[in-house]
Amino acid sequence: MAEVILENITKSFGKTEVVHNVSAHFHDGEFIVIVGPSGCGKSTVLRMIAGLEEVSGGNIKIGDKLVNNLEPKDRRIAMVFQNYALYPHMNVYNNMAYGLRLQKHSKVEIERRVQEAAQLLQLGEYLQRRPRQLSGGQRQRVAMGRALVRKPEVFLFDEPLSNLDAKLRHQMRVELKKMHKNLGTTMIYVTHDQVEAMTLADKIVVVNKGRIEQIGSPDEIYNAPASMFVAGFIGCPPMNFLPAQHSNGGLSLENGFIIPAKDLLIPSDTRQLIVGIRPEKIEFSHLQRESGWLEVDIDFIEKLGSGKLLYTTIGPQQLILSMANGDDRHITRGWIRFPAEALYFFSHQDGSLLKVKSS
Amino acid sequence: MKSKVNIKTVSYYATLGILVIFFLMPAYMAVVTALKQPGDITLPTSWDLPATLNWASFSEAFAMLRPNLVNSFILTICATAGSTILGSLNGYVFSKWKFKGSEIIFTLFLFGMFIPYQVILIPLFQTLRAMNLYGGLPGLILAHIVYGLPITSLIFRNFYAQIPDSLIESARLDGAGFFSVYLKLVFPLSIPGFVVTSLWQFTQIWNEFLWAITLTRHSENPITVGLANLAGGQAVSWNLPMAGSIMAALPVLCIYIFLGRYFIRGLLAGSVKE
Amino acid sequence: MREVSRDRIKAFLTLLPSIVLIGIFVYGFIGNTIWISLTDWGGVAALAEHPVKHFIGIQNYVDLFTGFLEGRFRQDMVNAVFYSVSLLAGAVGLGMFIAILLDRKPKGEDFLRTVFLYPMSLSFIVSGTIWRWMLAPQGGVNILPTYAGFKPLTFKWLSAKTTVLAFNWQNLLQIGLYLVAVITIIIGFIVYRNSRSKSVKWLAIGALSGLTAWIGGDMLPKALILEEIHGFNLATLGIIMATIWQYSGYTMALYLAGFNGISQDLHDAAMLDGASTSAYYTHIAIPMLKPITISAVIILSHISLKMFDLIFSMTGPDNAETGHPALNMYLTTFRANEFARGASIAIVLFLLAATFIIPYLITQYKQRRTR
Repeated sequence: MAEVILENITKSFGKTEVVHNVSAHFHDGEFIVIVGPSGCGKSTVLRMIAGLEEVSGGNIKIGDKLVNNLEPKDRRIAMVFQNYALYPHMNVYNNMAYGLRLQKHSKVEIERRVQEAAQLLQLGEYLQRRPRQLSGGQRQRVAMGRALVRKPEVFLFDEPLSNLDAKLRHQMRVELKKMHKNLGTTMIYVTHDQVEAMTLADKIVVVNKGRIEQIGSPDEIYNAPASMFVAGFIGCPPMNFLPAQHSNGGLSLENGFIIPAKDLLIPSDTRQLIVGIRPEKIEFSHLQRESGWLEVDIDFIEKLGSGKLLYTTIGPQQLILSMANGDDRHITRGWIRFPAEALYFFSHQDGSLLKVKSS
Repeated sequence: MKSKVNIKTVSYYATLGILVIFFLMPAYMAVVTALKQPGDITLPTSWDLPATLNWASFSEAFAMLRPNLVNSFILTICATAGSTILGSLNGYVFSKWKFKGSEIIFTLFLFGMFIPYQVILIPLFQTLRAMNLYGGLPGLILAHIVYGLPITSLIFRNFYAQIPDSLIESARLDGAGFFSVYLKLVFPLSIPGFVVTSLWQFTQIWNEFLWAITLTRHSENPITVGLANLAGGQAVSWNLPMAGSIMAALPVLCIYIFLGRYFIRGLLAGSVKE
Repeated sequence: MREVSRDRIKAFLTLLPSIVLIGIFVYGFIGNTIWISLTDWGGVAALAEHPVKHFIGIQNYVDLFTGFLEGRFRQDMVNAVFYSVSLLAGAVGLGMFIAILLDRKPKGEDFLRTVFLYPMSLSFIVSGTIWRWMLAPQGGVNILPTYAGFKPLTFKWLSAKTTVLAFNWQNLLQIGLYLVAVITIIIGFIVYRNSRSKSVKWLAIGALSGLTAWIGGDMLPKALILEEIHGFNLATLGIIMATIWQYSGYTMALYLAGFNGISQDLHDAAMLDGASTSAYYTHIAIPMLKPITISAVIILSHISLKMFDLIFSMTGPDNAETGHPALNMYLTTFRANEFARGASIAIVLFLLAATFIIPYLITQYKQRRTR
């Protein structure tokens, strides 16, 4: 069991710095998900924790111990790779046992640990098979098994589910969460998929361009995004963003519609800003409404089964509304409203969340 | 990054250095010996640099080997062209027009690549005699084309396997038939394949000796036989065989040094590993 | 007729000339050589337009292996065996070693690769000529130690008369059994980790043949009437060295391509498992590249079996110490005009090659089918 502490980590390849000053404190037993778009440096951070990349600056501590100069094998960690990285010429048993043999565990101990892991992952009948004789999901389990038998203090996952089809991915997600509950070991999980981040994490770390944008619980990240980037990245469909001008009557959007100011808590010191609202928070009516409501054309509708998405435009901006099923009439126009309590305000310059004056 | 100069790195580069010396030793020896005056060549001083440079060895060796070089160029170019073109067509059929039994035929082709050529030498000799082709270049060219087919078909088959079938299918939906698919689509895409295959065949045929010595008469001898005769004669001083060796090696060495990437691809393809 | 089936016929017709050529020039000719080897074609009138041939069964083969006059062929065979084994060990070992060195991406990797591979592009006649000069007794390689202050070597690389590992050809059967015993017992120990029952089987075969050879050695039929000693002629060392020089670059290129094909993740996984660099290569990388090793072994065996040019140019055709069946075949056929005898030597070579080529091609064929 161990906590993981990153202190001002940087990483440069040649002259280009790809990870800038990353600091974080992951508590013992937490499930951490590091999420961000591809190329944001999240995998590099993970590989530095694993010891597969050297840090260019800063310190990494695993369970009070400074590990900067420790070999990967001495860091008490285990890692699951995106393409599983199973040894193709060894059977499942030997894939799991190889690391233990190198650590000079006794034969009995190796047998015990492998069997234990195999039982947990339902791999018992496949132990004599080669990786290429297994399905993608089974390979995934073997990769997990190889990590499990090491009994590490920290598990590292590098996009472990992205090579699976959607159904299997969901199933494995659930199993992974169960496994974490049973083991209680610290897990650090890298993905570009915000759904995995939301469903798995105790704590999400959103990374963009080599910097941490925000660290927080899934609820915090969703409800109180620290920046436009986080707001746009987490949540599906993403948050709508509308440029707006501060005017006396309220906030005027690009098409001239004015969101009334009376119940708005607008940061008063900025003239230009960006208004954000989540698709499910926009109110919709197909009956005509009065002031405060905006009449829009519905361009098209995407049915999701459990609900539907309406697409419309405000000025040049696309706006997505998420709605429950129900009224299945063919909708071509309607009236929408932006509830004041659901609005977020972001800086026009750097996308950061603008602090709202308390009313 | 801190630069680590330690014993490990030093011994690593030292090992590489020793290997480089071992591999370059013969080349060095050939060059210095070729450049020495015949009188300066003695065994105890064989590693020494020439006291005076003697370029005449090359012109002298060239005068002796010129007919052989000409023969070799004719032989190599004709046989390379023939086996490459046929190999390309075969590879096209083997990879894109598989029919029942084509895989077996392909395997039977491959077998022809792995036989020790001594086993076909006597009938080949007799057949060429019967066809009145014995002793001259055409017979040798024929032999090289036929026995080159397995390797050229193999390289092209593997090369064409990388062209997606959907590309061929869409061309056929557009109305292209067997030959127009080849001419309009497969052939233009396979220029690198032609480079790889013809470079490989060129070096193989240029370097071949067994057929060259058994199937050609003196005036038609290719360079390998010419060089063997030059070096085998006891009277000749060593600067000539060395100059001859360098000349015989030069065309293939140039291919290797300037087009090494393609040469290595041919070499890897020759190992059947797909 | 539909367009597609017409195209199929075109495809087959395109292939047909090649099929016919390969059919005649490979399979027809092999059959013809087998037939010739069963006749007495040879002698003074051998090159007549219609030479006289009589069917004599396997007499040529009997003579080759037991005849009084063919002792040289038997020594050639022994040479070929030692030559193949040394070449395989040397070229695969050195090539693998260099590939591992280059896999660490040293500075000047491209240059190094070029240096290690260029001998591969040379003709055996060229390399043979140069090596012959390098291996001359009073110069070249032998005087290299003097540059480091040591005494020069005096080894006669190409004409030494020393023979090691000598054995009596009479006891061929017994020695064969001992070899089988050693090899099967080694296999037995190798497979022990994967499957005990298979391992026991191999060990049993080994023990049985070893015992037969040991106890029944004197009762086994003798291959010859007279004692005839053969062994590893040290004169072939020079040729072995030159061939390794020429071909280890080839195995290096194969392994290097293989190493580059191993994903970074797999390497990382091994590092996390605690594998040292040498453990990575011995447990992971080299075993993974087994197909490459097999290819290299097949191709090098093929080369060593037909080796003719290099020996011809390094020692001339008539050097008995460094003889090789491939060279013997040429001399017997085209110098002595003993065509039938030459054909039988060629068939022996062919059968040796076929024993490992055919299984190899069949596995390749099956792999292609399953894909």
